[in-house]
Amino acid sequence: MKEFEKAGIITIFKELITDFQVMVKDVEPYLHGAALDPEGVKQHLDDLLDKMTVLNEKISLTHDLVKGVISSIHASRSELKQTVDGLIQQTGDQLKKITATTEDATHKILDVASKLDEDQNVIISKLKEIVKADHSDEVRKVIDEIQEMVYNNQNAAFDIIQFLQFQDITAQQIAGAYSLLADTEKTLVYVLHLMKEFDFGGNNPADLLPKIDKNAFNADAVFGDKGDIQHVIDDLFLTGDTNQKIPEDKQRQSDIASSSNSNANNDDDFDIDALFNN
Amino acid sequence: MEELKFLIVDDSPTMRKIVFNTLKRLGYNEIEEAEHGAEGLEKLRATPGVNFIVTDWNMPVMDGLEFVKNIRATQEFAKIPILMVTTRSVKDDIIEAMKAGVNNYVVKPFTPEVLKAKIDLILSK
Repeated sequence: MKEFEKAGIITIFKELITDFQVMVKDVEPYLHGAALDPEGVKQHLDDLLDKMTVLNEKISLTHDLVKGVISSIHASRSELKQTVDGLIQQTGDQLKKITATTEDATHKILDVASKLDEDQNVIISKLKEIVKADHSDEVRKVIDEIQEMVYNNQNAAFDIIQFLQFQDITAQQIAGAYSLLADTEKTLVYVLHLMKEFDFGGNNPADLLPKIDKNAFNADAVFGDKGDIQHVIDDLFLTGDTNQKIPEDKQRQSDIASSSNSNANNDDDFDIDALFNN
Repeated sequence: MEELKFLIVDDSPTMRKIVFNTLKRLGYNEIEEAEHGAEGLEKLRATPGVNFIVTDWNMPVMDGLEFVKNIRATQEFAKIPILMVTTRSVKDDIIEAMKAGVNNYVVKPFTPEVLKAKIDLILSK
């Protein structure tokens, strides 16, 4: 396989343009009246012939590649249309349902845990009443034990309340996933628009896309112990020393962050409204 | 000592409930809530006496950072202590929040002990 055959279509196009420019440059002196040296001209024509042969191969390869691209676009156009028309939207709706259902369930658990917490307070105050009325050491000992158990139950109920923070964090992760899907949809709509294959009616296709407020969530939120990070933040606020190193909050998440940030950066260059309005 | 009146600003009803419960457990009973920064500012104007704010960062309409900047730019509220409670733990974010004027910063998920320690620390200054 020749070196250029390994290249992609865009690279080959670039090479073709460069090759043509070089050939024009080679011929230019003679067009401007440079003296003709028979040996030099022969050498030049030989070189030119070699270049033309390679160029011909490149053009033929480019033709095949373009044909391939066109046929794959045609093969995938209905899938693309279907995806943009409904699948991504359905997935987004499903993700929202998951968030709503989880939130609802979490609130029910929160209410039960809060009620448990309050009930323990009632039990404790009733136990204190009993202690006042009965001074038997044996009874008091049993009451103390019960009180200890009630405090433990109360702490457990409160722990449950704290653990329910997972819901907010997973909701943010889900919002991040939905945002990625919306970005994918944006790209697909852009491709469809470029292909001019589909009728978007009187609508600006950009208006059909979901509006995502990326400030409303942190896709890199992680549910886990934040003790090590919190300690450094404490020092940072205490000393004001901003040179302190803050531990990474899970490398995997950081990797996801950089990839989603690069998507966000692409958004800056990719002004879909401007594209559609042109 | 002046009774503390809290304003919790968080778009997640779950988080508002959890912070609310935690503050109650710490003995604070006067607690207002708002869903985002813009509603937080409205609440501050409509509810006199709020003297401690616990705010999230990522919120729709007006995020926590904008909210903090708005508060610090409003003479009437500029001195209210602000504790930011957020999932954002990247150093640049923390420094940005610091520069915007938060008095301290807690990373979610938080523990009641950490929340209490931060409130006490802010109040001691």
